Amino acid sequence: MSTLLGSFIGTKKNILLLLILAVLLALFFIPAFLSKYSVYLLTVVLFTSLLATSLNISLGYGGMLPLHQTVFFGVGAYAAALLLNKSPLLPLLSFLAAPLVSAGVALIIGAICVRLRGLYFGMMTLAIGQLVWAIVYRWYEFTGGDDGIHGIAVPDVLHSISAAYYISLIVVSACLLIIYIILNSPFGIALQAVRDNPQRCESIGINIHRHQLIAFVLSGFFSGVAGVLFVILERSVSPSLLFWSESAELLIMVLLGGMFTFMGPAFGATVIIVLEVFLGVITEYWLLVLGTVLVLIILFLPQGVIGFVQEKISAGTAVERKGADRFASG
Amino acid sequence: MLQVKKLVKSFDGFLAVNGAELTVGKGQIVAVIGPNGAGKTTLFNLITGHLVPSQGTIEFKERDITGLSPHKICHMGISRSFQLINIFPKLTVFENVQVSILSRKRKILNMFSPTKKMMVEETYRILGKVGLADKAHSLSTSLSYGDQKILEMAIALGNEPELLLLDEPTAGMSPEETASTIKLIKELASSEGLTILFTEHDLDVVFGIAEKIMVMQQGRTIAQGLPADIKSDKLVQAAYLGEEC
Ligand SMILES: Nc1ncnc2c1ncn2[C@@H]1O[C@H](COP(=O)(O)OP(=O)(O)OP(=O)(O)O)[C@@H](O)[C@H]1O
Ligand SMILES: [Mg+2]
Repeated sequence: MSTLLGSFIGTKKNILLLLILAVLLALFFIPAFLSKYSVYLLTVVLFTSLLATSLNISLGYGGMLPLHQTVFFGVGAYAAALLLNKSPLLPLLSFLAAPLVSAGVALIIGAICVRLRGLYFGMMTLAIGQLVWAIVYRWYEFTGGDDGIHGIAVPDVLHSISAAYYISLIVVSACLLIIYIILNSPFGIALQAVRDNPQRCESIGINIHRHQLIAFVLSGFFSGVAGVLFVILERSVSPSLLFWSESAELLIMVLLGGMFTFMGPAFGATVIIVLEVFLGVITEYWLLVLGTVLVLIILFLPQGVIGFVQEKISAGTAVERKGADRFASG
Repeated sequence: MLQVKKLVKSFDGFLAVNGAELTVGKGQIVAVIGPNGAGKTTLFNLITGHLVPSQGTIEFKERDITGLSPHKICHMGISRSFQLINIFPKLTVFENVQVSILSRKRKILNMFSPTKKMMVEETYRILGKVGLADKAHSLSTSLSYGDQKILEMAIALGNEPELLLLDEPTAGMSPEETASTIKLIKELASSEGLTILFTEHDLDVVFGIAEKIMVMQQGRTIAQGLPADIKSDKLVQAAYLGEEC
């Protein structure tokens, strides 16, 4: 918090901070006025926002192309489920350990992929991710195979939807704050420098592969946190969490919101989920809708919605731009 | 300080560097000259680890650095600027230099301090030295070409190198910019105690600041020595100076 308060200078920053506070307050009180189903949906929006933001650590900020991010979400969810059901660990420890399992898987996949560039990186993450999906899908004795795992032993206090909601609100807010701090730390600035000019980074002494690998592991970790929140809400998991189409949807969320902005991915996640709910009745057409959204973004908003808004704001005030990829750079 | 011996670099059989020899003493300003395509940039890329030599050795401060990765070589004290402008386009002038200093001080893995407040003094010191302090908060790509070339050098200075490699530091600059850049390089060499190795096509620049010159032709070192000796070297005159002067 002190870092945030420390930079409490510019009035624009103040306005932004007030806005965030207002949103947080609203999110805190709103469940009282909403149906159970709406609170459930809001919880989904919360952890999906975290998931999309975690993807953006390696995508927008790290310049990598992880085509299969939901593997880490799925692994986190499965790890939480298995630890809760089969290990003697206290539930709290299971919740804490699960994202570490995701980070571990990200470390392995990242170590294999991080030397590859662009689409090669993407195809490799996709291939290995699908391999993980296949293992989860086939390994009946351990993962329950295509049945998934139901009746996960989530502690009773968390069984109500509003409990899941408040846990998600707290955890997601905390994680977003941590990610924001990381992205504005020397590590984060260097990560963006690696994205923009890897060769130059090497010659100023940055180990670019190690840097990207660390970012990839962080991104896997936070996806795993989102997976734990999913388990708390649903108390069941299935292999479809790790299927590639989930990752495709996630990528569209990030692109829609804007991958060179901090809040873009969360915004994109919210919009897509809301769309999905309103159009959900006709599920066969959902992929068609997603495809259309993607085409529209590429044609009209390549920088994403939040990217577009930020551009307008900074053009309006015409102060020197501090790099389009900074949160609230305008 | 730097010893290059029998260095060879082959690109699929094409020998871009073919037996380069170079000795740079501590505190010296040394120039590498040669016609286009002689292999000067390739030689620099080999020294800084961006390319791996096919044969030969490179020693820096009595240690063999042949084939080490660029970031390791950088931390040993060699830093460089590039012939073509190679900066961080989305960062400000200030941040371009700051990130280099952070890397040098091994703060690059720090995840929890706001970057804004780090290495501010150090960054301004370097920007002040090269004359970019007043443009610190402009986006790097908004600078004029000449200033971007200077920023290129400032980024390298952020690494506090012992040996600074400058690949055509004044290429494309106006005569005035060239003159002030030469002055700057001289100042830096004395005030920072830098050893400087540079390439340059402008022979006035070369003979103006170099204490030693190495001449390359088709990847080969054809002469190495004091400027006066190079001027009178028959081989050099035939191969290089003859066609330019
Ligand atoms: N990556 C590469 N692959 C193949 N050939 C290369 C490569 N890099 C350089 N060359 C070739 O090696 C030769 C030497 O190039 P280099 O850039 O080192 O010359 P230079 O002396 O720096 O020239 P200039 O004065 O034009 O900058 C050239 O013929 C060039 O085409
Ligand atoms: Mg060159």
